[in-house]
Amino acid sequence: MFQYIILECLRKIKQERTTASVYHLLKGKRSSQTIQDAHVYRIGDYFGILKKLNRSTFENAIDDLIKNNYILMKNSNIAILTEKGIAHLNNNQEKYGTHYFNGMEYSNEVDIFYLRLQLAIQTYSNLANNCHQFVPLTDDRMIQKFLKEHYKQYKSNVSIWLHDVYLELFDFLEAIPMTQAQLFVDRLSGFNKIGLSFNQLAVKNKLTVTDVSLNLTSILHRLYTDVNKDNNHTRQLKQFLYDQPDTLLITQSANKTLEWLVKGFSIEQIANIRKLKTSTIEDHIIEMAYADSAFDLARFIDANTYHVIKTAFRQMQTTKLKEIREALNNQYNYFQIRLVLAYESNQKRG
Amino acid sequence: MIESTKILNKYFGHENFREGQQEIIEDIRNGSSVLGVLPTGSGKSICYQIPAMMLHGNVIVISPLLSLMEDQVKQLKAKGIKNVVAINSFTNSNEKNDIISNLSNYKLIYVSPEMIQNKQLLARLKQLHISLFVIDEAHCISQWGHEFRPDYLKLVEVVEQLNNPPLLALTATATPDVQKDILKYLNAPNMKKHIYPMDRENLTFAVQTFEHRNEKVAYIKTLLNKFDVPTMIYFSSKKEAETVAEQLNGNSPNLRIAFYHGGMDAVDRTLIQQQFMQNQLDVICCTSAFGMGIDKSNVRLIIHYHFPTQLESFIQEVGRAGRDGESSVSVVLYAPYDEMLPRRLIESELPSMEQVNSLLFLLDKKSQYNQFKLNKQEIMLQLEMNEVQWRFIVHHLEKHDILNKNQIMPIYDKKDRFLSSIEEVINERFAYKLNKLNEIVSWIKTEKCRRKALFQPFQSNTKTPKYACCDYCDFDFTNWQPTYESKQTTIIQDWQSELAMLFMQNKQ
Repeated sequence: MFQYIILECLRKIKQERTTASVYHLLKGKRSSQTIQDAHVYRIGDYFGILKKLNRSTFENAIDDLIKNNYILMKNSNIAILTEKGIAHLNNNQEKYGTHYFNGMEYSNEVDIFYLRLQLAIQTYSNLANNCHQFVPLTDDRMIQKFLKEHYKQYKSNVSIWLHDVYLELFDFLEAIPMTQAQLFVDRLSGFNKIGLSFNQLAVKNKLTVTDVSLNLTSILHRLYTDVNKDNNHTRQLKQFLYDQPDTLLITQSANKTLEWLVKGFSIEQIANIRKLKTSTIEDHIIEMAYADSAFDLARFIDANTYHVIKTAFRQMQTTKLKEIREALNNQYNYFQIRLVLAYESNQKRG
Repeated sequence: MIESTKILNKYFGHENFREGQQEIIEDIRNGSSVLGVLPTGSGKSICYQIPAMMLHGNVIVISPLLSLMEDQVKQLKAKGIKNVVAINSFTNSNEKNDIISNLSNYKLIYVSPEMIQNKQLLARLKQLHISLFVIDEAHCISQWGHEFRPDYLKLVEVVEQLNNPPLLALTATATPDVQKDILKYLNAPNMKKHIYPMDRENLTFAVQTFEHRNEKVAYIKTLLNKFDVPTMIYFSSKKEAETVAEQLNGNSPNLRIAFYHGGMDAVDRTLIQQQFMQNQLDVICCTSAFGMGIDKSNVRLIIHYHFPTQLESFIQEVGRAGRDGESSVSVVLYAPYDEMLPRRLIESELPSMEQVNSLLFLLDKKSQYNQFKLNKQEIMLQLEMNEVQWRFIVHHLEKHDILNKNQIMPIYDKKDRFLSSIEEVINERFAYKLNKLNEIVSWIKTEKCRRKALFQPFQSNTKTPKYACCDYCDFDFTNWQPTYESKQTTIIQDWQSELAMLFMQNKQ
C-alpha cells in the first residue's frame, strides 16, 4: 500500500515537485509549501497519514520503486513514472481502499478519536471485570481528562455502554475486509487482553510496519467518516468525535496573521507589527485562501482582477505562475495570481 | 497496625515492608534527612511514596530518567493514588501551566533535574510547604558514579531556596566514595545512613564464553527451549535487539517473543511492557530502556547478549530477576572483542577535543556578531554531538563562567585555562570509565566465586545463596530447576469472538 500511495502522489505532482515533497505530505508537515502542494495537486487525502514515517523508510521505498521500474529519476529528486508504473496504478486502483483516506480533514482529529476510543474500551472492559488497576494506554492528559468526564456519565451504565459499542463496532467491522477487521480488533486492549504492537501485527499479517500503520489509518478514516455522517447507528461512537474548535489547517504563524486581519489591519500594517516581510504575510493569506472555504477574497482583490486571472488560468490549463503572469502581460503580481489559484482550488473542493 | 503498614496494605497490596523500608520511613517521619542505599527491586520508591501520603505538605522527587518518572506516575495512578504528577521536557507548555497553577493539589511532584531550575516552577514551589525533597538515583551527583549528571550539582541551591526541607537521597548502587560525594554535594553531612547489601540470595551467576559471537543466538535458542520461563535479554543496540528477536521468533513458535527499546512508538512501548507484565509474552529482547521501574516478580532468567559498561549497571539489570524470591539465573554471553561495543559507548559519552575547540570557535564568532544566545539543537547538529556530550560541555562552560544561564559571556583570557582544564577532565573521566569497563571484563573472566567477585567493591560480605551460587562454585544449567507457572495460552481467534470477549458479549 505504501508504494502504491507514493506512486500515486508522484503521478499527481507531475514532475513539478521533488520526491521530498511527498515525504513531507505523508508526514503532515505544517508548512505553507506542503499545505499548498496538498491543495494544488489534490493529494490532500494523504496529508499526515504517516506521521511517524522516517526519512530512510521513505528513501528505501523510492529505491524500491526505481528497482521495480515504476519510476525513473531526473536530477536525483524528480520522479518520472514509467509505463509500468502507470499500469501498476491503474491495475490496483481498488485493491488498497486508498479512497477512504481523508488526511487533510481528519489527520489530527482521528488520532484523538482513536486514543479516546481505545482508552474507553480499555477502561470499561477492565471496570466491568472489577479490575481497577491497569496501566492506561496513553499518558496524554487531555485524553485522560476527556475520559474522566465521559465516565461520569456512564458510571452506572458500563455494561450498557459495552453492549452498544460492541454492536456499533461489529456492524462497521463486518462491512470492511476481514483482514482489516482482524487488524483493528487485534490492536485493541482491555481486561486480560493487551493489544498487539505494530511490529507484532506486521509479523502476524506478513506486512511491513508501515503498511500496518497505513491499514489502521485507512480503517480509522473510514470509521470516522461513518461516525460523522450516520445519525443513528453510531450513537455511542459519536461521543468520541473530536469537535475541533473551528480552526483552519494553517501554520501557527498564519494563524497569528489571521488574528490581526480579523481586527482589521492591512497586510503592510501586520508586516510592521509582526516585524515580518510583506511577502510572508501574503504567504499566510494564500494559506488561508486554500484552507478556508469562507475566505473573503474581495478584501484583497477586486472582482475584475479576479475574473481576468481566473479566465486566464482556466483557458491555459496550467498552474505555472510564470506562464500565467506572462500571458497577462505582467499586469498582475504573483500574489494576486496565487490568491486566485488558491481561492479557486478551494471552491472546487467545496 | 501502624499507619504506614495500613497504607502499604491498602495501596500497594503488600503485607509487610521489605528490608530497610520501614526504618527509612520512620526516620523521615521524625524529620531527619536520610541516605538510603537499597538493592534494586527492594522497593525504593515506597520509602517516599508512603511518607508523601502521611506527611503534611508536598513531596518533590527529582528523578533523572523520564521513562522511570512516567512509569512511576502511571503505576501510582493505577493503584488509585491520583494526586501525583510528573514535570519534564515532554510536558508541553499548556500542560505545564495547568500543572503549575494547580501544584498544591499534588502530593507527589516528580521533576527532572533540568526542570527544577525553571524559575516559574521554583517560584511556585517556594510558596508550598515541602515536607520532603527526594533525590532519586542520587549516585548521579557524583562524578565517579556511572551516570554523572551535572544538573544534580545544582540541587543544593534549589534545596536552600526551598528553605532546607528534609532530604531523602536514594540509590541502588553506591561505593563508599560515591556515598561521600552525595553527602558533600548535598551539603548534608548529618544524613542518617541506611545502607543495605546489594546481593540477593536467590540469584545465581553464570558466564558463557563463545569463540565467535554468532554462536550466541543458537545458544539462546537451546536455553529457551529447555527453560520456558519469563526471560529478559539485554542488548546495547536497538537494531540487534530487533534482529535477534526476529531470529528467535522464527525458531520457537511456542515462545512469545518481542523486542523493546526507546525508539518505539509510545503506545507500542506500553503494550509490550504490559504484555510482559501480564505474562502474554515470555521473552523480551530489550535495551536498558526497559525495566526501569517495572516490578514484574517472576522474571527467572536474565541473559546479557551485550554486557553494560560497568558493574553498577550490571547489578541493576540482574536485580530485575526473581523479585518473588524464587531461584533465578543471570548469564552473560561473552565472545572475543565484545569489549569493543561498550568501549565505543564510553567514547560517545565524552566530547572530543575537536568538538570542544569547534564550539569555542563558534562561541567566539557568535559574540563577535553580538549574538549571545546558544541554540542547543543547532549546535548539537552542527558538531554532531549527543545529549550526554552536550551536558558535559555546558557544565564545564558554566563552571568557567563562559556560559551563564545560556548567555555567552566574554571569553578573552578564559579560553586557554578552560581548554587545558576540560582536556584534563576528559582524559581523567575516560581513564576512569575504561577502568570501570576493565572491571566488568575481568569479572567476566574471573576464575573465582562470581558472587564474591561481583559484590566485593560494594560491601564486605555476601549472603549465603539460597539456591546455586555461581558457575564457578556449583552451578550448571543441567541442574537448574526453576519454578514454572501455568501458562495462559492465547488461542488465536477470529475477530468476531475476540471482539465479543473484549466487550463481554459472549454468545450463548
